[in-house]
Amino acid sequence: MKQIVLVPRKLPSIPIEAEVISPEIFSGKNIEEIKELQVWNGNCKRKLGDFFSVKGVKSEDPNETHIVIQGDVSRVKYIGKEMRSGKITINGNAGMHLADEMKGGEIIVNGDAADWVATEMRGGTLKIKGNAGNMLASAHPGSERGMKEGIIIVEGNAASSLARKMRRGTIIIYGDIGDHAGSQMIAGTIICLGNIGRRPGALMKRGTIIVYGKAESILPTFIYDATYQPTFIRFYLKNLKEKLNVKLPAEMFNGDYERFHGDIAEDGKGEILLFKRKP
Amino acid sequence: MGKVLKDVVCSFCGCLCDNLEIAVENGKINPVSRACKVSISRFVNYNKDRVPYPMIREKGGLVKTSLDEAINKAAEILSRANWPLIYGLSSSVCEAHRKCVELAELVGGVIDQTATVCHAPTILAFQEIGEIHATLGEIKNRSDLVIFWGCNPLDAHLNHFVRYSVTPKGLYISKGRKDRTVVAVDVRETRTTRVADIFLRIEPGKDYELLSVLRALINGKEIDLDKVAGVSMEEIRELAEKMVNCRYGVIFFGLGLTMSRGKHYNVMAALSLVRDLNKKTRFVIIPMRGHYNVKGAGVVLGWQTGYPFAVDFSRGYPRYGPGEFSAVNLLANGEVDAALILAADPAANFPVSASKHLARIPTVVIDPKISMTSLIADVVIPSAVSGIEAEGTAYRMDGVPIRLRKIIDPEPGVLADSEVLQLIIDRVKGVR
Ligand code: SF4
Repeated sequence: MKQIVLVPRKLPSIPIEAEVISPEIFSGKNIEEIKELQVWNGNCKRKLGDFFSVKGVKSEDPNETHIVIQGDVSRVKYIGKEMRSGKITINGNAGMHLADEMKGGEIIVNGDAADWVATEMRGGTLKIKGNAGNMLASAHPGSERGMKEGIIIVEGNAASSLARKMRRGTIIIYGDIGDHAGSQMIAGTIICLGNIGRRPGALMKRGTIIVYGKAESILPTFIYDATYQPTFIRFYLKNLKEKLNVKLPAEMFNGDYERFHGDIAEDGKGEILLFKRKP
Repeated sequence: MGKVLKDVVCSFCGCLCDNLEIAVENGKINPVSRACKVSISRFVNYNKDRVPYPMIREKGGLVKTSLDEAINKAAEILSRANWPLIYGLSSSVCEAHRKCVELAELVGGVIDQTATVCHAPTILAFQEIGEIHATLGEIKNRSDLVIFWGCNPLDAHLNHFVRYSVTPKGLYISKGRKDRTVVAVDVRETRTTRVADIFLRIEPGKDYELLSVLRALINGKEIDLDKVAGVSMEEIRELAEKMVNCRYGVIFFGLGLTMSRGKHYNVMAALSLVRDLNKKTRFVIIPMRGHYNVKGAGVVLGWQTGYPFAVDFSRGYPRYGPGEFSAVNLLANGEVDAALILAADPAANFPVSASKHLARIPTVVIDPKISMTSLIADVVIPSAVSGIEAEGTAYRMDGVPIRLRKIIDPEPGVLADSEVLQLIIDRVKGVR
């Protein structure tokens, strides 16, 4: 892959909107052309080169384009919006609307991510080494569906309203998750290796939430079914481990899970699987 | 006693009582009848703590200036800003809201209104689930089951009980209070819960659980628990039955629901419950809005920009960003670089980090009265009190627009909010 390296200068406190930071847009352009790309800072149109130094090698193919951001871009919004291919690595914290409607390719954040990341993601892979903010992988306000496809791995915690209206895809959170994860979920899978906050799966129709740690509360409209060893979990986790290199505790593979179905205030075909520790 | 005016509207709370009798004599206003005690003090004290004249900040202090100078300075601040914020609105009239939207678009800023700190979760939930709605007149004439959830009208909307919801006789409620069952749901005892026929005291932050269980019950699902949210299943079943068997039910809800843990999810649960109840009977739901025209601010913003609050114009067209473009967050994160505050007091009500930033950036305040925010502002422009010294339109909490009257003249040279805003707009455009 050919690398283009962006180093932020001292960024203003008014956020920058830079949907141009995307492999499709960078490919086919030389460094000078990339510096000229237009970004927004408040109500002013500015150039990418005003805020970043740009170095690297021109690439003709977006699949072969790797954008590396060296530094904190927590006030830069819309990085990787609608990207389809290639790769973005952020060595620092990432701002709002990262991976907005991302369709393919890969984004790695070696830091924390702000609120509203991977909204309505449609494909590709997003890895966050630090913590994620609120509304990760959710739907835009007023929209029918959240994340539609793809894989998200967060090594830290995720805040509240994770995967609201999720339709398909896989989300793995190594740490804890806040309140209302998977609310109004339509399908898809969320795996929480830490603890999960209040009301997971509120108003969910279908989909699966697997919790290895503790749940702060399960809604009264989730009905306990049984404690069992779901066969699919073994295959599913094995796949995640082998294909995506997800680090999973060994006891998860063959352990007991308490199954709840709900939310019976809605269709009630969703499920929460709570790992049961051996006494 | 001087001239007595009939059917005066009280522009204080979301009830917008429009049947007051007011006496005016020698520049003094005395409510004669039907005004509640909050309203009386508002009318009697309308001339206290007024901004005496236009002021601008010079060498650290606010000094007297001409209106013209103040308008110039305000226009300069807003047009120079890279991302200004326009905030407040709910205690002004719709005519001023329209000007605020125009100004926000002109200067490429964000416009947000006080709903952002009270009923924003309600608006978000309306957008998700929908709203089954009625006017307060309908409630008065028809409602035989009245539920107050997380609100205390007997202390906050004093005339609500007698004018709309509990005691008045109506078309199908011939005996008034006797024909209505009043239910209160709250985490603590209040004046409202004390007069209710049924009081469900719930554990804090458990509204969602109770609402979703009610919903499951009315949909014929069984819940195998003894207690939910600290309330026995027996009581919950009884309430569910009352809801299904009433002729016309209503839920009024307040900040107890919208601002407790769960926020818009709580309201979504309430709206979904009401939606499902309509398969069996007639049921509506109305938020108890606080400031007299906070409803109108949402209506005007919705009509003009497509979105009810947290709207950004920085890219030339309106974009909606609850959280992202909410005044508190923008200020607390230090993202905006100038502000215009219309008839609100964020410096007093916002978290410290937000008011600190407000003090740092150039701020314009348009307000009839001195507020904390006016003390930290760089430009302060006095305006007439809407509904007393200026007319205009306001929306009652149920969405009924009501025309406010002018009952007394303002001091010479004091303009209405919308007139001040128009001057700023003209100056920004360079027109004059
Ligand atoms: S209830 Fe509200 S609108 Fe009515 S008189 Fe009292 S303060 Fe005014």
